[in-house]
Amino acid sequence: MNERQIAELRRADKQARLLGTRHPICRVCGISDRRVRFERHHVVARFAGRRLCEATVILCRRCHDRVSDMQKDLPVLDPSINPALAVRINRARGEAQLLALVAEQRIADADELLAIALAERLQPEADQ
Amino acid sequence: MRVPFSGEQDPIHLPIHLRCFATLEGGEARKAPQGRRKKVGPSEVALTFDTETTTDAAQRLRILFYQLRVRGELDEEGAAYDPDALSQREVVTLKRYCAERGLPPPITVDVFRQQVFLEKAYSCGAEIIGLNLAFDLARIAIDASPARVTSWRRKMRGAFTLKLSEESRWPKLQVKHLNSRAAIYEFTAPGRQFASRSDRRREQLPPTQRGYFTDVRTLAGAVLGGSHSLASLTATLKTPTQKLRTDEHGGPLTFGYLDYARADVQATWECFEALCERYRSYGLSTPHYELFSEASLGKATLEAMGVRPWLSGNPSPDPQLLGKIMGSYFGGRTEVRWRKAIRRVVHTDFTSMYPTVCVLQGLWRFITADGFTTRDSTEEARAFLAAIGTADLQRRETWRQLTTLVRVRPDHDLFPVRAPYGGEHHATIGLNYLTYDGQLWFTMADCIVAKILSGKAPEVLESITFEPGPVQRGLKPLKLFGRHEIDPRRDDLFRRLIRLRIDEKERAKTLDGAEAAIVRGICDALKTTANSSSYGIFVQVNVATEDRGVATRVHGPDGETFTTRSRKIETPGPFFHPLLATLITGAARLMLGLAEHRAATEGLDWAFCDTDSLALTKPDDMSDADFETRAQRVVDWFAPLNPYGLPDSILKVEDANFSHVDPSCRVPLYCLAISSKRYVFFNLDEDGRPIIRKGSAHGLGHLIAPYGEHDPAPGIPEPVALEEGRDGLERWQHDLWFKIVEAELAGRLEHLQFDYHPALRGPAVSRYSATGPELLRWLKTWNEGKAYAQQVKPFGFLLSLHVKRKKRGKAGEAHPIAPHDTNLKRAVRGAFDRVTGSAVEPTLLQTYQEALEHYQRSPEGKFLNAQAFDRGRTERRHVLATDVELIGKEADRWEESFFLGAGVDPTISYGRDPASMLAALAELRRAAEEFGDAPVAEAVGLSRATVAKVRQGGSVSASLRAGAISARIDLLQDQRTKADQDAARMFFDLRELVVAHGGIRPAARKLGRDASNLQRLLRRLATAISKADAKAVGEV
Repeated sequence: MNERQIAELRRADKQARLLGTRHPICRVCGISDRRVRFERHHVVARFAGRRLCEATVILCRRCHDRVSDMQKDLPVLDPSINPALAVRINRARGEAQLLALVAEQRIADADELLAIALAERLQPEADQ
Repeated sequence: MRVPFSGEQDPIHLPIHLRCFATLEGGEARKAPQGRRKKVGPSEVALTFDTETTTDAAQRLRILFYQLRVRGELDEEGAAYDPDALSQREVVTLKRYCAERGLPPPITVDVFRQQVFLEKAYSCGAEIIGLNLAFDLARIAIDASPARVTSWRRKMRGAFTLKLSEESRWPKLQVKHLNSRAAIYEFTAPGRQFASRSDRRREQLPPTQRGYFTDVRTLAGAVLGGSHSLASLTATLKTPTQKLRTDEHGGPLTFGYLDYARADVQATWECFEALCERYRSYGLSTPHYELFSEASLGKATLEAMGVRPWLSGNPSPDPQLLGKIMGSYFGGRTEVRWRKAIRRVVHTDFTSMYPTVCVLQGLWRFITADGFTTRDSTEEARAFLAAIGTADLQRRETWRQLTTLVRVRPDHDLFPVRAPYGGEHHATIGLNYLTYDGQLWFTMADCIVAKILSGKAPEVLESITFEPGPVQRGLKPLKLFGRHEIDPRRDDLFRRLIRLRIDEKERAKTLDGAEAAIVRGICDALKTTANSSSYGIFVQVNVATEDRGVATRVHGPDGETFTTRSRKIETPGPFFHPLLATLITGAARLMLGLAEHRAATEGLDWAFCDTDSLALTKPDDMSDADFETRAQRVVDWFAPLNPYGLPDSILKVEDANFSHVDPSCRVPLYCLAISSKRYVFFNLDEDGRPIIRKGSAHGLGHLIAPYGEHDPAPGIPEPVALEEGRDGLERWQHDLWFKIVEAELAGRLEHLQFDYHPALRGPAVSRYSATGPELLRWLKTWNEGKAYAQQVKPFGFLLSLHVKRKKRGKAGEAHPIAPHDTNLKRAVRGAFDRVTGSAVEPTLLQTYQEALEHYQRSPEGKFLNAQAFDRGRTERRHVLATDVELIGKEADRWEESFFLGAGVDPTISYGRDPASMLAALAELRRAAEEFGDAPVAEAVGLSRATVAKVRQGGSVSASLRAGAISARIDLLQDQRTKADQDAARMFFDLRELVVAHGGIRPAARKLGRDASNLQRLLRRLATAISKADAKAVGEV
């Protein structure tokens, strides 16, 4: 092993410990390239400044930034409400945001595939 | 033939010990702050290394070889050395060796530790592989200390912390010894931030890297079963690299020795690969680095089938019910019937006893069920017990009705009784007649044994029948070895495993060469899996020792619950299911009871029994042929109970009954048993000399062999046909049994001297490993002022010795130990008292001859006619239980711990309910007021001061048992009454004499006594009588 390989293995090991797997996949865009940085996204936003639920999903950094940004737009809950209910509310909202992002991503994927398909269909005509 | 209780026998008053269920007061320990995260497994990197050390006490590292592999491919190989432990010439030899073998130049151990172990292996999450890894890790460390652990890392209590770097940014390593084959290894959290500030802000915090360690010996124990050395492993697994032999340990470095050391690393890796390959073929999902024993394999099998442990489905079980269940739990039955008498025998054992009784009772239904239900079945149990006979037990369906616990008030009933018989240091279990003025729980199987062996069924006060709950959801089929599908919803795992093993064994007979070896490997694996998943895991309790007592809630069998403080904390294992454990061992005892009953029916007796085996003995007036026929009838009786769809009996005639030359030929087998676990089987040659076939090493295992294979005792023939593997005897143990048998044949067993080899005149030495800080502390004086490299280090060896019995007064309570040395004579010269640190004269040390002088007299306190010099047939005792003492997990290998004198009580005793303690104090107070402090103190075994303190209303810290105190005070009362009666008789006799002779003086002359003394005696007797009369009047 040379220095570069060792450094790469160290990063991979640190990432594996953080993510709980040595084979991470982004749950939104589906990327699994080991050079991509993956992170754990807390599905349930904080309530009254406290982290009440540790439920996480693995996302690539790009998707994590996007969903975290969306999380910032969530309306702030009244700190006097029941914390257990607050967790359920934030979980539902968090999951909805993720699903929205997945939907957005899937539409983008579909558009991309459609563009490829169209390009492939037009190619033979152009050749002729 | 039933053997009813003989009421003539004097009962022995003993407190009986019962298991209980104990939990931490206030629930489980606090969880780690980060919560538990799934381990991700090691990276693609693996570091294998092996150290070679000096042979002196310090066992200091000299050289090591290592291999760094990436995805299994060798990436780097090299050698490292300790420059202070090698001469310049040796360093040059090592450098030349590396150059000639194409290895990089050797590095120092400091460089290895930093650049290979920490920077490559640790940082990259590598798997660290070795054989006896704990020993090797302690060699490369720079310092060691007892581990400091937080409450949520209780599992590492009693561990060593090994320092690997002077820089705090690198972790330390904690190593906790579990048993002779396994240890837990974990890196500590290093003193530096692993996450950047932005990551911390984004809560991207990786958990601490605890590391992945695989000791090949642990893995082999789990996958293959038993204990293995590298030599036996390479031979078993037929690895390309076999373990080389060398006699050069500690000598100057040579190319031959370096080849040996280097080959060890390669052999270790190949064994690791072969074991992983074999484990993968099982189709289980538990990673190999999480296997600690065969039990881990059992758990992994159940997990792979989606079986949810009973406790995870019932996180808060009824502790009172668990108290009852644990109270009925007893281990296997081991007894001696014919002691110190050579008997012609047929040695039999049951096929896979625990899996078999699991199948017969249908316990798989409980394992795969979502909990269990209970119902009161008192009337049903009474009727069942009244009606049952041995013929019913020949029907398999009867065994499914045994999932019942029964509450009884034992009254001369034959039950397993756990008690400290004969003042032993440890409670043992014996099937004895029990009387107790309280109520106890036993399994229905135990009640049946009582009925069939004594003819008297216990009176059922209450009975609980257990039935499995609904089948768990999420069960899934398992494909073992990629071939055999086992569906937990349809198949009984144990039946399938044992049947598969039988079939594969048959298949192996039709194959040869490599194919046969593979199939035999599968057979072994099936056996290991069946045994490991059918019993031990259900009664697994992990014990952690705290520095101080912790509040513990104790649940006893009669529903009592109290809080006490205990330093030992018991935590149930993941598959803890005590109901299954008690039903399994109960049914196994019933099997043995049936075998004993059938033997008696056939007019036979038995020499000894041990859990699943029984040696049937021939009566003196029976012919050999008749004996064999009757023994075969006993064996055949069990054929209908075979649950594996085969016509064979589950009771088998052991291989030792056949000739060691021609295994198809039956030869007369003899047995000489001394106590429960000390026995030997032998044949007689044409000259009437014994040929040892199988022997036990019980009570010998802790001693280092005084001589080896190449230095045999004169006049003792070479051992033949010793059982292979774990049951095999070392040469000196074989010779010892040979001499015992020879002496018994010549009728001079009691006069046997163990002086047949000069080595037996040397000091008896036991070798131990310093597996915990408490043991290493013994060498504190020796280690003081020395650098770590020169100290005796964790997992290094130490030698334990004993002072001669005759010299004990002179040497006081000396506990001699010595640092390890391959030269035992030199080691003994360095012996010192581990408490005071002062030197112990070698002449004071016990020799092997002295240590063994009572081996053939080992008493069996649990039976009558089994004292040191007793011989012949032992008889069951009548135990009058004075009280119940609640205990926790029973200690393993307690005899060896006792010999070592570890100073730590291996048993867990919770004593008794505080209410019982108060009753004991009240009883003691009353007795002291009546009889005076001194006689009471003597009777109950307390000091006079303590009794006086109690009489004045104080308390004591000693564990008092109300029942025991009552019994002893009753005894005192009886003695007093007898003394009063004697005094009265003497008084009236003397008075008659005085009257007959016309006065005191003539009577005194007649008696040859002084007249004034006689007068004083008469006065004293009269006073005693009047006091007794006054007391009697008072009582009326």
